[in-house]
Amino acid sequence: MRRDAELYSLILLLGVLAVAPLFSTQYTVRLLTVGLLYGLAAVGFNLLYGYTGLLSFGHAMFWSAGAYGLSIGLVRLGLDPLQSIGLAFLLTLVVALATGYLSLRHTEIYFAMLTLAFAQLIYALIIKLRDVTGGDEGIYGIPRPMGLGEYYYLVLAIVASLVLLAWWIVRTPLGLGFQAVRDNSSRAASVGLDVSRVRLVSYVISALYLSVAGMLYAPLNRAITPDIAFWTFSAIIVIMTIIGGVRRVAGAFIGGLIFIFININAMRFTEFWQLILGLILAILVYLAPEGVSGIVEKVVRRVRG
Amino acid sequence: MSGAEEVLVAEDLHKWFGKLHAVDGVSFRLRRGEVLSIVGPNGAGKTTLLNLISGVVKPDAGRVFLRRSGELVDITGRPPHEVTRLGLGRSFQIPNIFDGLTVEENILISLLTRTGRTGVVRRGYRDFPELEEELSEIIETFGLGEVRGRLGSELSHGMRKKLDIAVSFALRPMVLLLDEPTSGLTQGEKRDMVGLIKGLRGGEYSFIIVEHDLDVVREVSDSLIVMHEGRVLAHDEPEKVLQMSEVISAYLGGYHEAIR
Ligand SMILES: Nc1ncnc2c1ncn2[C@@H]1O[C@H](COP(=O)(O)OP(=O)(O)O)[C@@H](O)[C@H]1O
Ligand SMILES: [Mg+2]
Repeated sequence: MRRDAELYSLILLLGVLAVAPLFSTQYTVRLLTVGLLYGLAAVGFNLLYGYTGLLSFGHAMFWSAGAYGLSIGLVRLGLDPLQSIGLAFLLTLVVALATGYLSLRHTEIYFAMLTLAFAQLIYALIIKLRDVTGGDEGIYGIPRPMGLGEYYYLVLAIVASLVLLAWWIVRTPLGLGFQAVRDNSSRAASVGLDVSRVRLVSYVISALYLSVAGMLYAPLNRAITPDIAFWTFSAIIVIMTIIGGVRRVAGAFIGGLIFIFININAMRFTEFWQLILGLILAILVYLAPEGVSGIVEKVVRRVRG
Repeated sequence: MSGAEEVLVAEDLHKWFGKLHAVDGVSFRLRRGEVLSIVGPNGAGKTTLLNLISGVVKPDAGRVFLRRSGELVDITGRPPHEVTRLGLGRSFQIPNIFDGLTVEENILISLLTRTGRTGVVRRGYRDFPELEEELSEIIETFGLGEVRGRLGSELSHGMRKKLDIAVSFALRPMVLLLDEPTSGLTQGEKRDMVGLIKGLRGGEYSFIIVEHDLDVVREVSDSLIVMHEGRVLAHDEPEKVLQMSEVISAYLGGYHEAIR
């Protein structure tokens, strides 16, 4: 079955990622770690976008809720790691439930604009609440409990579990409900699905994925700045998911991994990297709206005959 | 039939769209096992009436009651997903299915909601053997076997129409509303659909069917309503109403043509 092919691809990819550090420099390992986190973020975002049909333009707020929640706990409040993780989750849930409740009354472009507005509000709050968040300076001296090499494997283990969990979720009755709501929300209601509830569940799960990515990002970088809450980062989350392909969990994951390398290389060679990124995206949307994973699938199908 | 208990009661329903009185004081009672057909020209308010009953549109006045464990319960203004869970299913005039899902998945959603499993995450949606059996039965009944693995978006109009009804039927609703179930179907598909409805008639299920084809109406209905400009012009046994509608058409002018 085609579906299992996705699982095998994911396992293969994760296997490659597990041995990759053996052949990499410190610099590349660091980049790979960010790639994993971007991949995780894209997978989480795509549960809401690709699978539930809601385009959020504010997902940076959940990455930030995780990163800031953890960092505030560790650095400002002097909590232990577990308590700080708890704080980060709590903060994420509060933000997700409040913004979800208010923005999920709308769909499509109105939903996108509302999430964007709420995310910018949170960005403004981060800048304003200088005592807690460090304002535009951010938070420094976030401890990382281990060396970069080991941290990579911690991140890989968590990301792998969550990506496989997402692969599973979309195959459960809950995930089928997401897809029904995406395809046709009025029909979904007329077969007995509580559409608002389904959307909220998807929104919160999606937010938690972003939050975990943000929580893992803070100790990697040892510092966070408000950039991670700015709207451009929300746009990046959207873009990398589309690059990878929204029809599959594996697609979004690959998108995150690819993105970090396009981004770094384009940045290295030209200051017009944002233009290049825009071009790649435009070409992709025109020629391969199903993203990189869609292209791969087509090729594989052709090779098999 | 006349002795069977009432499963659905509509009382003096009204709906305005701006100045248009789309549904104007409609009342009727539907009994268990009954097939009630509704005919009337385009714009008569038939679809709107179904929308009022199923909760898709809220009535401006009037009430809808549905039998629920022995009692008639007021369901007026309840959201569609609640009305569905209380035992009322419907299909749509323009086939309304899940385009990105396969035929099997489309029907499975109904089976999952009906059995209260929509929030389940411990099992895959294809891991319910008891539902798979029922799924195959429904696919067989509706003649969807050849396309069971296809996406909704890949189906012909006729297949979409059947799937739409199969999705509603899989809810095993006490009352099933069908909005023009044979429109756009080939003659053969029409026969199948009539056979299907007749096969289900007289049992636990009750139907309200909006239908233009008077031969179909004659064949399947226990009672017939003629609607015009939001009002019920006649409600009686099909043959009586059809005779009467000849008379009505005489002074409405071309009306009989219109309902064909
Ligand atoms: N949502 C709506 N907004 C405004 N007018 C509507 C709406 N739905 C239906 N109508 C109008 O109400 C009248 C009845 O429509 P409808 O119930 O679809 O008729 P029928 O199904 O009998 O053809 C029509 O004139 C139609 O244009
Ligand atoms: Mg109609």
